[in-house]
Amino acid sequence: MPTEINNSELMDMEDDELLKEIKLGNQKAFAILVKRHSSRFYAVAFRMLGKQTDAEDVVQELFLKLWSKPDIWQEGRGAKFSTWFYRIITNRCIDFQRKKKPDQLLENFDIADKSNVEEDLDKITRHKMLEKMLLELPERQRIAINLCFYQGISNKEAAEIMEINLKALESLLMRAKKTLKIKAAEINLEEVTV
Amino acid sequence: MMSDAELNKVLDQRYFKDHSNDFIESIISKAAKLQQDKADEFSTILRNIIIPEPRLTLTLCLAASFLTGIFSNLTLESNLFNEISELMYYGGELL
Repeated sequence: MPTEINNSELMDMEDDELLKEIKLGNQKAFAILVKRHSSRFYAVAFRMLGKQTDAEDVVQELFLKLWSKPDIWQEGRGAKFSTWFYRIITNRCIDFQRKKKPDQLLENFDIADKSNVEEDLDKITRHKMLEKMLLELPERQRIAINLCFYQGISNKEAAEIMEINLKALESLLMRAKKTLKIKAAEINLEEVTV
Repeated sequence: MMSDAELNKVLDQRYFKDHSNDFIESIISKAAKLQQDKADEFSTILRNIIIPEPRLTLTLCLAASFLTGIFSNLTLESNLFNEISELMYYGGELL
């Protein structure tokens, strides 16, 4: 007779083990996996989409897909669960962005939403300018910046997420930074940020 | 042009909005609901198979007896056509 795994045992489990439990329909294992990773996954989605509701929708959709069809995760393919999930989030966000026009994308960044109405106008302008600069980067360069700059993801893992080698990733980052510096100088962004 | 440090500073100031408070719980509860819906769907299918409508049950019984008849006739090598028409006749009477 199989013994039931208690919460504390589940909490101590690695992602791979939790996913085995999820394949058996264990809801508690799913809840632990969601609690463990959803904030970081959301952060990546937000950096790419710029809107809280869109980022939440993407992460939720993909977690529920994993719950309904846990076989989409195949252990032993080389990638860690988090690397694989970051990859599918990134791809889903790219699909989402491609369906929108560039102007719509910038509007999508809910910088001046209701909670920020009282925010200093300069600060809002600065945020908008920065987002515009990032949106104008080529797609791969933008993804590299989003992954490497904010999420505490190592360059090695970012390269795995993007399915490229480390040198290619570093080259993308270098080109992105070069472009950003030129654009920032053109619009005097450094002056507004001080 | 900006230095790397200056650019990093600019990027660090990028706007970020945290997820809503109920975001995580919402995913978990939606997963639980999905599982419940799946269980309900399965029990509905099962119920429909086990307790179908009376007319459907009768039809299925007749079809089963008809097939059994054919099979036994084939094995006994008797007059197949006579037996089939007899089964159909009684089947029609019952319906």
